[in-house]
Amino acid sequence: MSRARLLVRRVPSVTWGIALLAVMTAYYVAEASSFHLFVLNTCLLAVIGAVALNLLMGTAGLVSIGNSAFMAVGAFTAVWAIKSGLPFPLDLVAAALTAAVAGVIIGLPALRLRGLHLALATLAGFFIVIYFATLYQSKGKGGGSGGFYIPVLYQQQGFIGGQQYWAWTLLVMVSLLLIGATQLAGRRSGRAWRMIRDHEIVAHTLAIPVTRYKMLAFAISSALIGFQGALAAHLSGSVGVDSFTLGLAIAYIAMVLIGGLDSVLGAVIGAFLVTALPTLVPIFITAVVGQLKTASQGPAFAEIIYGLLVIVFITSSPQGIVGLLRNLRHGATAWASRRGRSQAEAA
Amino acid sequence: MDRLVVSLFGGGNLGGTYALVALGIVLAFRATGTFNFAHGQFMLLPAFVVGAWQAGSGGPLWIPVVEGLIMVSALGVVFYLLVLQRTVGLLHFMGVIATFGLAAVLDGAFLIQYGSPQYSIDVPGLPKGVVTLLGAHLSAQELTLTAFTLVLAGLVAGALRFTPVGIKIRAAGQDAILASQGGINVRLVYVGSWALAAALAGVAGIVYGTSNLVNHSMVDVALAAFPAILIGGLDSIEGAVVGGLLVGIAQGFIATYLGPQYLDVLTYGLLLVVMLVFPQGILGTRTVTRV
Repeated sequence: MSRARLLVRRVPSVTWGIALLAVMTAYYVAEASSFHLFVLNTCLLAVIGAVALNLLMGTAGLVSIGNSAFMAVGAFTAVWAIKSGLPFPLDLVAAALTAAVAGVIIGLPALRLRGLHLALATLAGFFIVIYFATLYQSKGKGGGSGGFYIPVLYQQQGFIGGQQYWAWTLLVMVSLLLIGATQLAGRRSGRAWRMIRDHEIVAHTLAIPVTRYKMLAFAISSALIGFQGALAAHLSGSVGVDSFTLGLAIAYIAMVLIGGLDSVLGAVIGAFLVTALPTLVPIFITAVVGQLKTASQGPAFAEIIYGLLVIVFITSSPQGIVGLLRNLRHGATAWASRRGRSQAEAA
Repeated sequence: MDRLVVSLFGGGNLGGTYALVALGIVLAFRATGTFNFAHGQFMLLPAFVVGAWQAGSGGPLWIPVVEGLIMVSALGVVFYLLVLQRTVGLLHFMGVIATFGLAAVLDGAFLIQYGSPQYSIDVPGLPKGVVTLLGAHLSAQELTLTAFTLVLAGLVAGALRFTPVGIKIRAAGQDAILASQGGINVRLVYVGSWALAAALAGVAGIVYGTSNLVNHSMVDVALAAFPAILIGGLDSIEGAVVGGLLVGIAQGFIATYLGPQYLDVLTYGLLLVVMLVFPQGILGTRTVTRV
């Protein structure tokens, strides 16, 4: 193997991903189109939730439809914290901690029985969270049918300037998250989670503390999702119950599955794809079929497409886009080695 | 006294719908081990077909009803054949995630085809007017529909327990290999289970749409049947009917005595509690761990 390739190998692959994200961010910031920047920021936010869900669903094998519930917990905790006078970064911490506690409580049924019971518990948790959020929104000071309004971060920079600042802020946060997530998934904890996912009983016999690791997975993933919810509130400036739907939670499942289960890279790809779909679909359809009444139907078509993608990937390539890429690479390597061998034989 | 009667019968009406929904979900679960999160969309499809038919041209009611039920049954069968059959051997929760995908596809398709409408379904021949019972005024139409759903749920549950076909369905769900050794066409049974499950959802949707409105919130009715399934026992067909009726009546009392705003939080709080302290339910088996 050549020296350059060894050097490339030695750099952790997550570095390349972060570098790519940084180049993307730099490009869109330089372009300064407020709409593209807004889509980029939404995608980067979604990456947080998708990576968190991947940890729980992909690595630890615990299906959850709790993303919108934990986002709501985070967002409403942030509202409460701001109204109680906590300064900016601290309300994010409060949001993450509250969401972690909520995640552990909702995850309790999955300690006894797995899989489906966590999915059902997160569903129950969703309705309970929405009830209390609705109550707080209607009774709390400053609430109302439209929800709460909180100061938008970087507002003094103007709209485009604010979005540019946001892009860099989110890039830093996502980079830290990606490094942390690859560490968690690649080391001892990751191996323990995979063992619990594939053979829970064997995990017990290998002295893996199953209960503690499951709790840890709930706590980390819901803390991150709560953090994302609070951050999203600072980006949009408003928090309303209506924006946290079950469909949103399903979209996050789609991100993880389309990207590739148990792959941090997959979660990032899935988050970008599913979040950008409502924007991409109308452009695509208009380009192919000409002007339709698709502008308003973009989200509906996007829903159909990512739903179909979930089903297609489950039936034909359960490892998602990352699995496809991996197969492609293996195919290419096999082809190259065959070619090398036949050349050697010819010589 | 009249409030008691109102909550009992109002809850019974809801409970009949829950029983049909829960029966369908349990049937599909026993067949392929897949908990169907798209069951609400299965309810909505025939309800939309019937509602759009009545809002549009009109004509005899049975045409859209049959059309809608055939459509939803076909959907269930196609989903089993194209998707669930291929999830065998994968991580056990993949089938459940596929139903999330199906729910998203159907939601998008409804939005494109129908927009966000409000339909009402009017079934001719149902008794109109009000029945007075122990001082409570009850709608004769709702009473008829309640009786219809409960009788249908009871008949289906009874057929599954006592008829040869029902015994085949239960056998194939319990142990596919042993059942196929016994000469049961397991694949056919699974196809039939999904068709029947989807049709039951469709009937529940049309009935619910007759006594309420047809709009997207009907999906929440299927979700509210989940506690009923868990209380009855995840893999018990009789449990689904019992649980459905219990949860429906409980909701009737909550709505009358506490107020409708507490419905969701108490119902799903109940679901959490049942899963924590009583995971096998009233009639379920103890060792259900697969998804």
